[in-house]
Amino acid sequence: AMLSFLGRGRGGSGGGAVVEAAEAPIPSPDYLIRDHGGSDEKNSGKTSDGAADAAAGGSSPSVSLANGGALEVVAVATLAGHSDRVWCAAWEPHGRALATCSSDKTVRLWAPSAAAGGAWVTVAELDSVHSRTVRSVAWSPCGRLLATASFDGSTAVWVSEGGEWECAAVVEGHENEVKGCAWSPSGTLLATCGRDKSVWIWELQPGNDFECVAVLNGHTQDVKQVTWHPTEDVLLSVSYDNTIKVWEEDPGGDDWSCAQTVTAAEGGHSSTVWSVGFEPSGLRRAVTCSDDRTIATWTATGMQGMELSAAAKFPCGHDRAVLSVSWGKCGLIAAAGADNSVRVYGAAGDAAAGWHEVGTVAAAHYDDVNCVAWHPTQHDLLASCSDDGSVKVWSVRARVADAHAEAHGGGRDTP
Amino acid sequence: GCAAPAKTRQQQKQPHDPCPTMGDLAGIDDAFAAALNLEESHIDEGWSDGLKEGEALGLVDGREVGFAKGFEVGQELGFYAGCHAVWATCARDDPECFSVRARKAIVGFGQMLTSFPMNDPLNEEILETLNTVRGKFKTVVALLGMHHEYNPQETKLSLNF
Repeated sequence: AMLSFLGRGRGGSGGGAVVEAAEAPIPSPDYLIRDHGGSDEKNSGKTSDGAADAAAGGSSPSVSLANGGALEVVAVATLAGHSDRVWCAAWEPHGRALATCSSDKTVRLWAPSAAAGGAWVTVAELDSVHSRTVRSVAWSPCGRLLATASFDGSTAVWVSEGGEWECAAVVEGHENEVKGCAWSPSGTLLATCGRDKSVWIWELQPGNDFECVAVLNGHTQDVKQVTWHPTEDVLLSVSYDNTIKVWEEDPGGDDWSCAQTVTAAEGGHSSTVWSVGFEPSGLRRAVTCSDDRTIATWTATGMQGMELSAAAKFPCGHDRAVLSVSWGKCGLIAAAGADNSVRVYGAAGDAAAGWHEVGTVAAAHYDDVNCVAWHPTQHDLLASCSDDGSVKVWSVRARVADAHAEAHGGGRDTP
Repeated sequence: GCAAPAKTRQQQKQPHDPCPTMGDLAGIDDAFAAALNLEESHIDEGWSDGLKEGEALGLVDGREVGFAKGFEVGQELGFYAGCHAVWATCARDDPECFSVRARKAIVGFGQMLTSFPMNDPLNEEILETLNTVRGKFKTVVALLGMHHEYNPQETKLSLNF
């Protein structure tokens, strides 16, 4: 069906919003035979992957709990619309919308619509700019700008003027596929990373122009993701070269350089590190996930600059890569699995004592889950997106049975 | 007095062995030793021959590779120095043609080139430093609104070392 949108690509203007059913029919496995194009992003051959088995179909994903799990992960909405695999999902900083990007070269913004009785609809489609897969999407801290990183080597920055989205700038420089983008806490710096092993930092100028601040070489392989410290202008990058790098501005203020490299020897990972994120509360911890089937937490300390020290590392609970991690305000860590699962981990009491799985959706999607992201204000909401072309919103909460039992004065002990 | 002669290992092991053939057996072993160790001695000879040959060849190979790699690094740095010379001249003659950040970056780029350890081939950080220089080059290029990748193939000379 033809859809008209509130926002379009360069210079376009859209019509009215269109309501889409939130509970769309389960996408057929057509995507399996579609030509995805792009570089061989996930088939590294570094750790045994096996063929990705499409999970058996079902009307709603079964909720299963790992040993000692106390939470259930319940699907709230399935967002269908992208026509190819969805790589990244990012919540607008005030929680007003969810942005997703896809190999279909577009970015979609979703939000629940009162007019549609609370169902999730596409409120904007950003297209006609990127000529290849859009791999990553990031909101500026104020929520006014949206950066989109693409395999076409460019990173576009979109602005919403009165509800209409326009492409305000395109920064180029990477020699090939851009894999990640992220805004600094002040919103003035935009970092990008890519297959050319480099990390670029751009500064936002008046008029939505960008000036190149630094081109950082150091990684010896494809850089998968970049993320900024929540309050300092310190940048983290993770790579196919198995390391995590910390980048800081030199005291003189003219150059940026690598302040720290974390390898397996320092408690890091033994295979591709796919994702890195910070704890949103004041404790200042970070989390990474890897092809090596583990998730690691770090303390990010230091008054003069920031240094990562290993805190905990735990197995993800399955034998596929962990493609994305997100630390929620609820204190839980969510992980996207190449085994089609969405898993939630919690630490009982003292964090170092041990993280364990507290909630699982074994068959959250029909294919690799590429990204998970906690809602910034509704602490129980979690978004996931997958190679199967769909995006899902989940609610992570105490199991109804336990809540019921507790309300009636009984119930089992919770771990 | 006189010091007792050192005992042979055999004598030390079996100080009270009255067997008269012990000494004879030792003699027989010596006779066979050369024949039994023939393979070993050939291996040893071959090894030391190979080592000498390898050293000589390695020196030649290494010199070739060193020259080639050194030339590559020098060529790239020379290219950057040429670019910097032009940019610095432009910035000096008409400061307003570049943004403040671009001017600063050009100066910083020049400093990097000047301080590059070109005459210290055993410096282990050379390639890392070169990577930093490359990054700075790309930064300046981006600040000047251009898009250029250093590609030595473009500047193929007719000279062949």
